[in-house]
Amino acid sequence: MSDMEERLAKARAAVEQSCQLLLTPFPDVLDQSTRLLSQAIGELSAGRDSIQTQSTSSSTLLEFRILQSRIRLAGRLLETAASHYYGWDRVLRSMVAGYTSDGQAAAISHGGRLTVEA
Amino acid sequence: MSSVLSALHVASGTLAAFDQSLVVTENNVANASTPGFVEQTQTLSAMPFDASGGMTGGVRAGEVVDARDQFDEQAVWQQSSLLGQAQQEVNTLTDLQTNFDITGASGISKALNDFYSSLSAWGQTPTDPTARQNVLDKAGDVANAFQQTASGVAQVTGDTNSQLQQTVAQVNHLLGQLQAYNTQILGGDHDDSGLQAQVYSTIEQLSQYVNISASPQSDGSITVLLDGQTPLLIGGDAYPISCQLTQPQNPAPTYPNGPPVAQILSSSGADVTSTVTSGQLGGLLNLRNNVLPGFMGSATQPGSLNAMAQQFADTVNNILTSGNISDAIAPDADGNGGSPAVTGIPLFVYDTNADGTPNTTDIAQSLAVNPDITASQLAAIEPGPPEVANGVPLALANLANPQSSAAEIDGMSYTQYYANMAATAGTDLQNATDEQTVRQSSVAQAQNLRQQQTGVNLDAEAMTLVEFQRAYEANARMITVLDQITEDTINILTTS
Repeated sequence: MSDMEERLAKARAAVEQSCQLLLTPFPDVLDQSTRLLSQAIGELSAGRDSIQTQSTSSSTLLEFRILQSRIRLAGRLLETAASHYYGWDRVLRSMVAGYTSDGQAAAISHGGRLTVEA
Repeated sequence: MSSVLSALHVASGTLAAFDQSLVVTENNVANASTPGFVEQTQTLSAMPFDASGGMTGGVRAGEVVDARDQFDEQAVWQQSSLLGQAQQEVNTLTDLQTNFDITGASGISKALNDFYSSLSAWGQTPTDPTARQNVLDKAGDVANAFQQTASGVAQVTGDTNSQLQQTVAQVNHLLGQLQAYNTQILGGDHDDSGLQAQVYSTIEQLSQYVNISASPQSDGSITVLLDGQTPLLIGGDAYPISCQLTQPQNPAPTYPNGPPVAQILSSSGADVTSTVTSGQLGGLLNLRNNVLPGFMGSATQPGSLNAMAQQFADTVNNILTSGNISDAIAPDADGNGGSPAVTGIPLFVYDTNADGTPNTTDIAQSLAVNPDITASQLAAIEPGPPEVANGVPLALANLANPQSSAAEIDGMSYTQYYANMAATAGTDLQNATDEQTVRQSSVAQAQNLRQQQTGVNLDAEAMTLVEFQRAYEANARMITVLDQITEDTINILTTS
């Protein structure tokens, strides 16, 4: 397996793991996802630098297309999660602060908080 | 003595309250796997205590509250609807795609190639009866291939019509179930957690069929709306929908004989088709009213298969009828005898209206070889000047690689046009399959979010939102960068 194929496989594994995590998109899980996606970026960046100097097979191209579809799946999962939380935000604002004159949920200010995780 | 009795009374009330809590907990455990069931909590409230005033305090059982949250439920229903749509589109587009073979091993693609080959062979031996008969045979294969493909697509259309009716029946059946549950709730069963579980499980099923919103009312019943606006269920009254096939009249149809469109009607008869945007029903409507007409036509378009069949047949016929079957024979020296040149006759025929105009949306299904033509009546002579004995077969064979726009359809050869049509079917299927994968994950995600929801703690929720916002932004940036790197890499690979 070439260096690029190896890096591609690692990047794909990281993105797929991230997709799995995004099925339960709670803030702590998203932090793990960030690390995985960051790792995938590192692998792909290094792989991209090497492909310009070596010939690649059509199967590699196919692998890249599969990776692309996984990245877009992760993006869609993140969007739906965001839509969920933003929806919740509207619900909470309307519950706590009511509505503005144009019918939007009113703004609330979040107090500062320090969280210590053991 | 009275203080002892009071103490016993308090203890008894407290035991009763905790006993009630245990019943609720047992019920939670027993229903852990029941579809639609959510955890319930027994609220406990302190009784007033004032020894001097005779108020003995203690605890009493309050309301039983569940952790069901409408916002999370609605998110699951929405994702279920989108998954239902994607699944339906994958199923139907898979059936559709089997009608389009682009490998050249069968179907229209192979028939066209064989027809062009027969024309080339005829051009080399223009008077050879075997070569002429072969052209007729291969023309018959082309007509059959169009007919079979059109019949296949028509079959998919027919199946889609049946599924529309079945899906509407299924929607109405589930509405009937919910109506019965509502009646039970209105009859006094509004605290029955088992009944609530059935209600929500049924709504989740319903959401796979059609995009609905549902909201509990103060009397405990559930109101179900189609797309948030058309009533499907209010209290004890259900408002069933129906499906009909109709030819739209406004604007007036360009192709009045085109396949009708499917409409969904509310119980009052209003056209609510445009409000059915997802679920299996939304998928079926999209396929029936948008995708399939692209191939087989409708009141507003001929459909690519019909357009190709008609233009191909007309082009072949025009070339043949511009040629001659035999040359003119000059009269003898006395001016006797002689005959004019015999002009060619059309090779293909197709369905026409009563006034002789083409029945544009039925061309592919009715395409056939002219029953009046024989091999000897194939016009080979291009009259010119200069006259070319095999000019017609050569011109026809050139349709394989067009030299002029007259031999093209939409700027491409007929083979390319067909390949594009087949590729459209393939791309539609691929997109639907990708969408199905995304929606499966999205439903799982929404279900997980619902599962984790244990009632609304405003303080905790507000904090979670802030944390999510930060984590979301970091992830979104990563995904943007990853997508860009992958896209760039694919571009490098495809251009190197």
